[in-house]
Amino acid sequence: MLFPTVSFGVFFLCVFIGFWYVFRRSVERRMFLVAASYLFYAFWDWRFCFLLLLSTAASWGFGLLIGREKEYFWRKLFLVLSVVFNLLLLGFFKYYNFFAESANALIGYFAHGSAASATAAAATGAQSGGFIFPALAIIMPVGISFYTFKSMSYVFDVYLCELPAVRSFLDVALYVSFFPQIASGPIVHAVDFIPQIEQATALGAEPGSKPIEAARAFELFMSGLLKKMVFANFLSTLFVDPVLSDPSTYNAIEVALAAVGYSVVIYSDFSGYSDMAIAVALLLGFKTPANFNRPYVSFSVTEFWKRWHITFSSWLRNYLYFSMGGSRFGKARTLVALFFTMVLGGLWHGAALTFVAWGVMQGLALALERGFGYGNTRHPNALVAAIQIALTFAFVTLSWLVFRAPSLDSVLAWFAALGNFSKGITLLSPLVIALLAAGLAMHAIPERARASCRSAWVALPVVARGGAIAAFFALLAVVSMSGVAPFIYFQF
Amino acid sequence: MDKAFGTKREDRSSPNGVLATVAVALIAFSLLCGQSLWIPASRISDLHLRAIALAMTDAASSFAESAGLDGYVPEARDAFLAATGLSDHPDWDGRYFNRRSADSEMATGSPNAPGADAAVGTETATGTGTAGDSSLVTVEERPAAAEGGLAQAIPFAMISPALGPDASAQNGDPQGAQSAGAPAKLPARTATIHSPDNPLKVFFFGDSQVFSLGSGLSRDAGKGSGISVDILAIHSSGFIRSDYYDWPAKLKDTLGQTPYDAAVLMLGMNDHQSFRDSAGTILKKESPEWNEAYKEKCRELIDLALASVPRVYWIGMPVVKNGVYEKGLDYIDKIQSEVALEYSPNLVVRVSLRDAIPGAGKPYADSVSLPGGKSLRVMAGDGAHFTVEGGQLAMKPLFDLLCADYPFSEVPVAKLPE
Repeated sequence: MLFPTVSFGVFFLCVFIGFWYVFRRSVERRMFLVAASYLFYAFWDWRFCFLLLLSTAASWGFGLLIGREKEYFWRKLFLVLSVVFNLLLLGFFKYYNFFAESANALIGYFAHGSAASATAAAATGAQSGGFIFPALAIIMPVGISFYTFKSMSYVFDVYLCELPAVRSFLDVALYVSFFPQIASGPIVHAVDFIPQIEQATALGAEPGSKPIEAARAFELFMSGLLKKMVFANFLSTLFVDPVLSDPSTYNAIEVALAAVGYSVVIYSDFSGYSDMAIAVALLLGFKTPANFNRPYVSFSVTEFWKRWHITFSSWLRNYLYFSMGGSRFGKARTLVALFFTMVLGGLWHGAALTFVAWGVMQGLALALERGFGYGNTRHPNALVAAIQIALTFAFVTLSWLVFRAPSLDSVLAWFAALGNFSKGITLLSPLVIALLAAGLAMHAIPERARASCRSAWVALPVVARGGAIAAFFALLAVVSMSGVAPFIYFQF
Repeated sequence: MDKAFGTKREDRSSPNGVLATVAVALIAFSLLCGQSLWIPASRISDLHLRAIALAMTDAASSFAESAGLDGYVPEARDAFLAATGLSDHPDWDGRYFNRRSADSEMATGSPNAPGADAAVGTETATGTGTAGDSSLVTVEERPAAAEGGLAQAIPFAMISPALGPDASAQNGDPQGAQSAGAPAKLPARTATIHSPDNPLKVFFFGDSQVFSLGSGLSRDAGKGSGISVDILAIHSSGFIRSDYYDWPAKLKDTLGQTPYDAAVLMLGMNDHQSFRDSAGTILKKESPEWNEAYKEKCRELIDLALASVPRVYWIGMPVVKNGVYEKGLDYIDKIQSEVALEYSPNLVVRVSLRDAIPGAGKPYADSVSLPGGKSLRVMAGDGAHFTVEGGQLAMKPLFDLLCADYPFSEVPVAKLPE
C-alpha cells in the first residue's frame, strides 16, 4: 500500500478516526495503532507479520534482560546476542544468496578447479562434497532493513542507558511496527520515539485542545508528493532511466546530465517518501526528526552525511562507528572505523558489489577528509565555498552512479560514453533541463524563505487551506504520469 | 518554538479541524476533477471497496458536471501535454491509459499487482518494414479463434502476412502444432534480405518486463546491426484490465502507422487476477470461465498484431522468486501456451523464458554463471524482473530465432555479457 493511493487514503482515514475519536484511552490507542500497523504491513504479505513480531519480541526481551542486569559482562553479552539475532534475521533474508554464491565460488575454486562449476552445482541444488550452499528463493520482506535497524536501535539505546528498558511489549511493538515508518523509514531511533508514546497517545483529552500539527503535516505531504510525482517520476521516465540503461547510444552531454539527473531523482524519491511518512506520523501526534536537509548544498562529504538520510547516518554513527571506538583511540583507528562504518552502510542497502563499492567511496572520502582536517567548516570566501559545493556534488553524483549501476561494468560503460560527442542529442528537452535546474535549485532556497512561506501557509484559514490543497492535487492531476511508479528505497 | 522539530505551537489543529480541511479539499477537488475521479478509485484491489469507491466517485462526478467546473483540469492537462511535447509519450497519453469506456471488464485485482510491474519503458517508432505483403491468411489456421467469433471481426484483408502454402499445410494438422519453447524451424517468408542499412524491424511490446527484455534484445543485436528493436513497455498492463491500458487500441494505432517485420509480445505478469466479463459477471481466476475469457483476450491481441505483422513471437512467463506469484505465473504460462498452440507455428512462435533462465526444470536463481566463471546477476532485487544483462541472456534464444527465421546479408552475432 503506497502513500499516494486511494487505498492508503481510505486506510488512513479509518486509522485517523479510530485514533482520535473512537479510542480515547492511551492503552487502547497503542493497541489500535499496533493493530493498524500490522494490518498495513499485511497488505504486502501477511506471513511477514510473524517475522516482524519475532524481531520485536526478541528486542523487547533482550532490552528487559539488559535493563535488569547491572554487570557489564552480562549486559554486553545480551547486546551481542541481540545484534547477532537481528543480523542473522536480516542476513538470511537479504544476504544469504549473496554470501552463498561468494562462498560457493571460493569453495569451487579449491574443490572443483573453477568457481563456475561450484555456482552451477549450487544453482541446481546439487550437493557436491557437502560444502555447497544451495541457492534459495528467499523473498525479502518489505522494510526488513528498516525495522531491523529500529529493533537494534532500541536494544542499543537501553544498553547505552539512553533509555530505560520498556516493560510494555505494546510500546516496543508500536515503535518497531509504526506503519508510517515501517516500509521505507525514517529509521527513528528508539530514544526519539518511545518517550513520545505516552504523550502522543494521551493527546486531545482536554476539550478544545489542538494536538495536531496539521499545517506542517499537509505541507510535508504535498512537498513529498511534488518531489515524487513531478521531479522523480518525470526525470527518471523522460531522461535518466533511458540514458543510463544504455549510455553508449546517447550524446556525452546527455550521459553526463543523466548522472546529475539521478542525483535529483534519488533525492526527490527518497526525501519525498520521508516527507510523506513524517506527515502521516504528525497527523497521529508523533514527531519525527528531519531525514533530509538540502544535502546537495554540502561543502564536504562529511557535511553531506549530516544532511542526507539523517536517521540512517546517525544510526551508523551512534551504534556502529562509536562501537568501533569512534575517535577515542587515535587518528588511525578513527579513520579505519569511519571507513568500515560506511562500507557496512553500503552493504545495508543490498547484497551487491556496487553497494559495497559505493560504501568504499563514501568511507574513503570521509576518512580522507577526517585525515586532512577538511570538511567541518565552509570556506568564508563565497567563490571557494561554491567550488567546494560543486566538487562535493560531483563526488556524490559519481557515487550515486555506482550505487544505481547493476554492475561495475555499467559504470565503466558510462565513463566510456562520455566520449560520445558525435551522437545527436535526443532526450534532453527544455522540460528536462527545467526539471534538472529546479531539482537542484530547490536546495538553494534559504531556510529563511522557507520559514516565510511556512508562516503564510500556517496563517491560512481552514477553507483557504482546503482550497489550496485541492488546487495542488488538481495541478498534480494536470501534470502527472498516467500510472504509479514505485519508490526507489522500497527495495532496501 | 519546539526546538527538536522546528514547529510552533500555533500550527496546531484539532482532529475536527483536520477533517474539516480534508473535507473542503475533497469537495473542491471533486468539483475540479470530476471527470477523472474514477481513475484512482479503479486502482483499489478489493472488489467491494472498489465498487463502493466507484459509486461514490460517480456521484461526485455527476455533481461536478452539474457545477460545470470539471472541464478546466482536462483542458489544462491537454494544454500542458501539448506545450511540453508529452502528448504522444506512452506514459502520459490519455488515449490508451485510463479508458473506462474501452472495456466494460474491470478486474477484481489492481493493475499494479504486488511483486509485478515496477519499471516504465519508453517508445521509439522508426523505420519501415515489409508487412505490407498482400497474400491472405485464413482464420482457419487457428480453429479456436474462428469459433470464438472474435477473429471474424477482423477483415481478412487486414491479415497481411504471407505464409501461403506453408501455413496451409499446417491446417488441422496436430503434428504442425508447436510445442512451447521449441518452435518449429520456420521458413523465411520474405524476399527482403536484411542488413544494417535495411534492418529487420521488430516491435517489442508488453508490460514492464519488456523494459529489460527489450533492452536485452537490443543489446544482443547491437547498434547498427541487421536487427532494429523498438520497445513499448507499459508498467502494470496486461491482457486484461484494458480500462487501465487499452492495448488493442494502442496496437492497432501503432502497427497501423509503422510497418514492422515482426512483433514480440510479453504480457501476463499482472494477469493472475479475477475480472469481470462484458456482462459484468465476475470471472474467478483459474475457473473454466476465466480460462476461456482470458484466452479470448489473448487471441484478440494476437489477431490484432497478426493483422499488421507477419509473425508474433510470444514470450512466456519468467520464473520468479515469490512462490505464490510464481504459481500464478506458471498458470498464466500454461494458459498462454495453450492459446499459442491454436495458431500455426508460422504465425505465432512461443518463446519460453523459463527454458532460458534459469533453465528448464530449474528453480529460481538471482544469478547465473557465465562460461568464464563470472557470476552475472540476471534478476532484479524484486525477484520478478530481469536486469538488462539478464534480459540479454534471456533473449538470446529469441535472437537466434530471428536470425534463423529471416534472411540477412550478414547473420548478426549476439553481443552477450562477458
